[in-house]
Amino acid sequence: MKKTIACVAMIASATAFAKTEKAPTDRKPSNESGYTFAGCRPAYAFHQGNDEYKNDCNVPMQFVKVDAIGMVRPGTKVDVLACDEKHVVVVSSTPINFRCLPPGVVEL
Amino acid sequence: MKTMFCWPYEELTVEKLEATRAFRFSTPWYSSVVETTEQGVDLIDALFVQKNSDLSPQETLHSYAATLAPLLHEPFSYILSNHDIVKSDQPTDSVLSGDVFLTPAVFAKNFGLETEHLPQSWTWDTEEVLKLAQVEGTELYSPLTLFSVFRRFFYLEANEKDQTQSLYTNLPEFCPEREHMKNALASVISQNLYVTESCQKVLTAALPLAGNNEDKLLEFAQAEEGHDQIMISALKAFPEPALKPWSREVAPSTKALMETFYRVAQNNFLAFAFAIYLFERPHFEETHPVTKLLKTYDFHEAAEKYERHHIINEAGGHDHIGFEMIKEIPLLTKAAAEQAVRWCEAMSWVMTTHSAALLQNIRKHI
Repeated sequence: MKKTIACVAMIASATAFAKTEKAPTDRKPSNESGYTFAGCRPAYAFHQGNDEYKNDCNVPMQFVKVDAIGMVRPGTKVDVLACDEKHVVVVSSTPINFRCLPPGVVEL
Repeated sequence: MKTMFCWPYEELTVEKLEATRAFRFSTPWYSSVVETTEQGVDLIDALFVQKNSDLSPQETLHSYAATLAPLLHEPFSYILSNHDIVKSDQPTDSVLSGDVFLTPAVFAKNFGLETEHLPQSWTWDTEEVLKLAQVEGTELYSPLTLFSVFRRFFYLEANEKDQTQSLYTNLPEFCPEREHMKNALASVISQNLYVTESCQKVLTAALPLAGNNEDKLLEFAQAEEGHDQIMISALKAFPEPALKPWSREVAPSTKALMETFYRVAQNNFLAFAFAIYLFERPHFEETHPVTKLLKTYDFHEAAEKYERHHIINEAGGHDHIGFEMIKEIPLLTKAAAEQAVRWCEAMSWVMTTHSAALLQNIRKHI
């Protein structure tokens, strides 16, 4: 019988957050659509909603709740909501299905 | 001290024992009762028993680390590839052409092994194993993570087909007379004799790849020296009439086991250390099952001699030696990690099928 590991993606997501010291420190805030990540980064994903959100990067955006937490693979294009030294916050107007995507795939 | 991150094996269940601060951690292959502090009770209860989903991934990870890291030697969890705690020296493993590992049959042919002792096709999911073991931001792989995956795969495989327990529980059924049992147990000890006799040759073969582990390996080889004499004295302790010649023969599956171990030792140090773990792993029982049977059938002198081997190994902490070696292995390249998967699968397969083959061999003669 094939022997595999069922929880690799879940572990990858959790460890990404535990290693936040490796998160970007040189990232500039951006609200431009089509931002391309240079590397594999931990990210918070939000649904777009009605509440105004202001953050340290001073990028206003609408959202209602945290919907998912996951990794964004290199080359994945997303809309960046905000960022700090530890996290990048991305947004989509449709529910985000955060999967580990192959480099270059646009999913959001 | 750096945090050792862990993640529970898919099969792990945790049960709180009533009116105590103890929990039973169980997998289908092993269970252990762990007593904790008042604070630990709440944490373990929330994490494993109530399966509290309010924890963030980071909190979950740290909680798993707090609860499972003290149990690293128990086969309960993956050890994650936290590069803060793994060695970053240059990889030392030799890497062979990937074609050598194409199928078990090709592999067997290349290393002069018998195909009947290997699987028909490879079954360990290399892709997922490597995903888990890759050290973030590098093209290198953590030996400790790989070990923790191999350990689970081995126990899964053992659960499917290892006949070790049924060998010991079925022997009385196949041996209607005490004399039959005497020869059957002598056959089991003769296999152990062959393993201990071949041990030095195998351990020496691993020396060129030992790197940081050279001292540990030499020390272990020295500790194992003379163990064959213990087996010989156990065999000599059986009462008259003399043992049947077949009970002193080495079974083909035992030869295959040691031949595979020898090839592993020559080629992949991680797989070699994993094989040591397999040979020396605890039986999770105070008395070895062979000793129990020897005593049950009133072969007390043989039992006493045989048990000495078990006691020496326990006193020397041999059940941890494989793990301790793996901690010193530098990060692996992708090719070396891939090949470790194959070597460990082969070793695991031959180990888990050995007891069934041995039982068959004994039945043939009784």
